[in-house]
Amino acid sequence: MKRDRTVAFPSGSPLRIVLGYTLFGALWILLSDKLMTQLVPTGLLGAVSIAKGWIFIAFTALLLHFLIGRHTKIMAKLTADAQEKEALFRSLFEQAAVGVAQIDSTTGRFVRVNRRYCEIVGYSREELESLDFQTITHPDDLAADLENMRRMVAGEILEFSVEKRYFRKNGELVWVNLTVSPLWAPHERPAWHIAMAEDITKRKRAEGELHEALEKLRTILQSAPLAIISADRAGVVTSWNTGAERIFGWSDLEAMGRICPTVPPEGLDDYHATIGRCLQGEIITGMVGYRQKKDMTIINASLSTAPLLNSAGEAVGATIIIEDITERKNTENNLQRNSHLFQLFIEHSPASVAMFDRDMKYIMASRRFLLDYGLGEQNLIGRSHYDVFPEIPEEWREIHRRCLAGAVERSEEDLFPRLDGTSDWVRWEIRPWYEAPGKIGGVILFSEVITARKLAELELKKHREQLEVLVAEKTQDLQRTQLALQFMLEDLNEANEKLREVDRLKSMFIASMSHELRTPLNSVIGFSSIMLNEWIGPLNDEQKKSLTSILRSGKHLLSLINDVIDVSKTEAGMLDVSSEEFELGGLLAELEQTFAMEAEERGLSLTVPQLHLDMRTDRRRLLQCLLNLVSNAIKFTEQGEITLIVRKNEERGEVTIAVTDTGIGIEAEDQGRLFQAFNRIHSPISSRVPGTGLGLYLTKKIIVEILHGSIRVASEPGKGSTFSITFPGRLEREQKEQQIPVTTEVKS
Amino acid sequence: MKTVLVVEDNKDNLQIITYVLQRAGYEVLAAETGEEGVELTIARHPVFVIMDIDLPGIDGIEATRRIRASETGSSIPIIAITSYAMRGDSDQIMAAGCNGYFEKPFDPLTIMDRIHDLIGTLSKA
Repeated sequence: MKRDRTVAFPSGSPLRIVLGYTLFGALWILLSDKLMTQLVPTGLLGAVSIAKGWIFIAFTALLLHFLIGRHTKIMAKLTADAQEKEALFRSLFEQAAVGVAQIDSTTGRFVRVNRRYCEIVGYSREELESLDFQTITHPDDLAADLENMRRMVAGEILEFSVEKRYFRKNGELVWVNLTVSPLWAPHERPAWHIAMAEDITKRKRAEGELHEALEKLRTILQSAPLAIISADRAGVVTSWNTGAERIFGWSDLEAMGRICPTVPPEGLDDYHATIGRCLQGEIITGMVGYRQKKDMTIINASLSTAPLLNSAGEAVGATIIIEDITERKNTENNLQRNSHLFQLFIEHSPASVAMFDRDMKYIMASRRFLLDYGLGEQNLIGRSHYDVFPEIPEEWREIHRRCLAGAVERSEEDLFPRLDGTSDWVRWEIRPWYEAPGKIGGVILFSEVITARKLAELELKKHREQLEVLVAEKTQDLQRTQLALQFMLEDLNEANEKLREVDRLKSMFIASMSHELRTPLNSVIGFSSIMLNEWIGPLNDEQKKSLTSILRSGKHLLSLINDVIDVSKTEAGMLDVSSEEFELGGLLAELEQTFAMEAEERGLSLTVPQLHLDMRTDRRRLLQCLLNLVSNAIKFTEQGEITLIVRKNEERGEVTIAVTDTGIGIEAEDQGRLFQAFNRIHSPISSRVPGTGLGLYLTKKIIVEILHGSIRVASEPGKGSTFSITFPGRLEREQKEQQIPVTTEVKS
Repeated sequence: MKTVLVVEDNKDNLQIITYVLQRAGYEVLAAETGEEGVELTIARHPVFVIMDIDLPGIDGIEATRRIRASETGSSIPIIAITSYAMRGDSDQIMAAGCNGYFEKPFDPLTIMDRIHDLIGTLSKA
């Protein structure tokens, strides 16, 4: 606190007063006593001395009264002054239009804040008094704030003023202009400081908005694909944006300060004239002209020129806005050309094409369309489809509406009844066309009048139907023929059936004949044999001769019957094969036994080899063949020998049995016929020799078909014959299928 | 004298076989039907039976089966006479229980040897 010392102690300091008083008192005591002793008689001295003391006390009292009274008056005045000042200060503090806060300089805590300050930061007085300024300061501003504080505390600056941001209690930011002053005297310890805050948020916001708007404007100006140039009265460039640089190639430095370089020499007059008009306040837009670029190429430009006003509103130049429309111009030209081409294309299309807008008014139609629908040289463009063809049925109009709504419809053939009573067959397709994505501009009608084709088709159909009738007739004929054939087939089947029946009857006949014929033969052979051997009684020569004849005839008949049965069975493929294991030596012995007597009687030697050979084939049939061959050999040999030779081919598993005689032999030309049925070779001897004519035929058949072997003959007339049979020694099932051809060999 | 039975409906054939068998020293019993043959076999126990296959009534195969089914007839040799046309039936004949067979027509001079062969084979077995 400052104190006015001159007001409190006008006569000097209390020490001086005391010193002056002490000096005066001492001098008084010394001088007055000396003076008194000289002036005053000694007797009176005591009384005077007492008086003198009283006088001094009175003077001192008077002086004290004066001093104390004066001091009291000053003090009272001072107190009143202080109270008045305090009230004033408080009022000022509280009522101040700015926010004021007393802050502890060491901690930053708020000590006292005024109402406005509370309003600015949005906290109550009580809340603030428990906070510090750092807490509510925007972090970005805090460092600078603290640095200023440090400098102020250090005495480097007396006070400072900043613009900073506080966080209000509700989180909003508030900009303040803050003035901070210390509350301590120089050389005093820093205790508090005063911060005075003015809310400058609005100003700040306005500043921001302005800045933003300016920035935006600048960006627009710079980035606009337009050249924005300003020029002064003389046409000298005073500003040049990026757009201008982009379009024309000159930088702002190159362009500014000279007559606008974009104006070609022949355009200069116009340029100045335009600026002149702008200076008169005119705004000129929509001009199209040529401008030149830095590289001397010429562009199509759209130009707008407006007066440039100073703050007083006077025209001081012109702002020129230039758009490069070269591209657009080209596009427009292209579009125009394409459109023209398209029109030509449609018009001369060899198909019937028409294009309509949303109201079904013609936009284009091909010549073919006009031709197909007999419209001559009419100009259809702009006319309604329904005016051109009033006969269009409602159902077609419905189709048009659907297509205008986005449908695509078509018909392969449709009848179109015309006003004049005729009808056309048409094939059509209607689809929408789009002037913009999703926006239907109308429909395109592709059509083809197919009346001629249709008529031809109908004609064809008629022909086809006629043909079908014809085919039906022919089919009927065919069916009749087929039926006849079927009947024939049935007849044939019947005949076949009958044949089979006959065949069955034949088999039955043979079977029964074999039995029926053989049973009596059995008796003939049996009894004649018994009688001939005189079992029943002695016979004379005549009887013996007759019985021999009976026996021989019976045996011949039996063999004939057996052969016939075998042949018929063989031919029918019914001869059964019974393959069995047996030993060939035994079979040959049986053979020898059978013919031994006969051979001896005729003076022939019969040689059969002794051997042991196990084999598997149809023993019975093999024996039958050999009996046949040996029987033949004996029959046709008058003298000499019959020899059997057996050869075995191990490699092929075949056995060959050869029967050789020294008989009459067979002529070469007869050898081929040897194995045919009922074909006896004519020879002097044959008439005397009994035979069925079936023997060799049957033998060959058995050898080939049952034994799966072959037979061959070698013969020389007059010298003898050799019949040899070759067959598999082991007849397995699969070998039955083999067919071994019969060969003949002539021995010459 | 050893008795044999011939079952044969053909009288000529029966006579021929009878000649052959009598000459070989057998007493011959004759039956003309299968049934009779079965009865006689069981009743008289012949040394062997010559059985024609083709018989009126039950055939030789059936008669053989019945003889084989009887208590006394199971071990008596039976030789069948077959006809040429019935060659395929040999399996059936053997299966019915015959011990062998020979075919008609046969040679009376050699048939006895054949019969003895068939029976001899049997006795050997």
